[in-house]
Amino acid sequence: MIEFCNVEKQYSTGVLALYDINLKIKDGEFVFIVGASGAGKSTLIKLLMCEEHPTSGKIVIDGIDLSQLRHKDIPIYRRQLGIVFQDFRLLPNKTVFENVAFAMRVTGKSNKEIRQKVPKLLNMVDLAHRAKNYPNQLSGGEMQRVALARALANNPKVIIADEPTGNIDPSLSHEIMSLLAGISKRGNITVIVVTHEKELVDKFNKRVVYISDGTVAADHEGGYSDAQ
Amino acid sequence: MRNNYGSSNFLSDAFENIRLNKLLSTATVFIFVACFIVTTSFSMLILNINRLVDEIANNNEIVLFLDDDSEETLDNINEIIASNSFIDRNNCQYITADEGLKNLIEALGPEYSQLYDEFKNDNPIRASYEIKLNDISYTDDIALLFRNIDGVGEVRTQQIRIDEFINIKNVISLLSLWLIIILIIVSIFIISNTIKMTIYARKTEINIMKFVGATDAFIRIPYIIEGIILGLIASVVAFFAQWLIYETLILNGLSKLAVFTPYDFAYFAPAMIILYVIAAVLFGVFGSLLPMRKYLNV
Repeated sequence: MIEFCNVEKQYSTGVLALYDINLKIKDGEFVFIVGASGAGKSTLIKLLMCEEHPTSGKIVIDGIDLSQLRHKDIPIYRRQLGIVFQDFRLLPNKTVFENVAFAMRVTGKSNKEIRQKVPKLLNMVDLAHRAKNYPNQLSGGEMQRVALARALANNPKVIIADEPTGNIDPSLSHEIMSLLAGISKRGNITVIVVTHEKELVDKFNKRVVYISDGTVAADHEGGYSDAQ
Repeated sequence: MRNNYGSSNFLSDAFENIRLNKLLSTATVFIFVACFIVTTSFSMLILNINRLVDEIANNNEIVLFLDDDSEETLDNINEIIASNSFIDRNNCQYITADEGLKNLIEALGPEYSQLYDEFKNDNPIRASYEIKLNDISYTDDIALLFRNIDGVGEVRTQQIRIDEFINIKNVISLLSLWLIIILIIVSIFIISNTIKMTIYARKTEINIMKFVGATDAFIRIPYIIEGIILGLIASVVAFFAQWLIYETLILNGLSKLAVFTPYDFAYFAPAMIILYVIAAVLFGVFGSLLPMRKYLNV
């Protein structure tokens, strides 16, 4: 369970990015976060990743109050999250296999565990045949699937996807979103997707949180237009 | 770290990083080497110049030429030698006029040996007394004591004014110390900027590590090991390059400076090895830690 209670975030520049945010996201839920550029979506994600901290209010995830986390606990907390970025953030000089394995090595998994798990993850995103390729040999959609496999590597409870389809061919966007929806459903993993893509949001008919001018303007099941 | 990640993995990661970043790694090593060599060459040159200055300044001899080599004159001289603590009484030497003539003819070469018979009864050379001093700063005072003895014709000290010479030496030492400090500071600045550049080039990698939950220590360790490895490679290269430079350039240049024995390379080698290794490790550790803080703080 993810809970935002009266969260406010003001940057040191004086910009009030978010205010009066009250949200509850249940375990295994799939949520779209939508809104115009600059509405505060990215700040919301940064707060969840502990990259930024709220000015007031609190964020509680599975009973952990994020504001109480010490700097050295943040990496341990982040291992419960799988993060997918718009720009994929794959390591260009590592193969597909190594990119996924990297996330496991970082958290101290043994080579044996890595050898067992990475092929399964690559199978899941249908990229087993690309294991030895480098990111620059892949299409945008394939790169995002590698990023998704990496996000799943440490059995996260929550997947946060920041514009995951922003840099890929529109015809492949649906495929990525289906993968995310499938992961959420099968693995009981909470998935939070920040996106601009109206059509996609409409097609999936999930919960939509509409952020406008730094606060939650609408929050309900259905499509993008309903939220607005 | 609650972690199965062994030290051999960190080591192989560090080598892998060096291989993947060949260009930047090579550049870093070259900059390390250049900084090491400039600083060391200069220090070696300065140490040799100091030695040369010492050799000249410590030519601590006064020579008395005697117009009258009677017992009385010698007694007066010996009395001063025995009572003055600035005189190195064990190394003073009386040279009779006859010995002086023999020494001169010997110095001229064997073909002049017949000159001895020619001059032994009408010797133009005066008897002399070589006085060694413990402390050259009292040369003038001691010379005066001997000058006041009847029978001492001439007291010869070094041609250079000794007090001025000591001043010059002090100025050279101080200037060179400052120059070496400046060179070390410039080297630190250049090297830390190079390391900053290598880390900047990998900020994406650090960023990804942070978001998949790597601890700060886990991220830092391979960089520290990498820094130390590059530093050590540079130390070895710099050591041998320095050896070559010293033997060919510096010794060649110094040997033109008349009668002077420069230090052997072996004199510097042990200190160089120790200092290079310390510098390599310090640069590896601090050079990697300090610039990285910015990227870890997310």
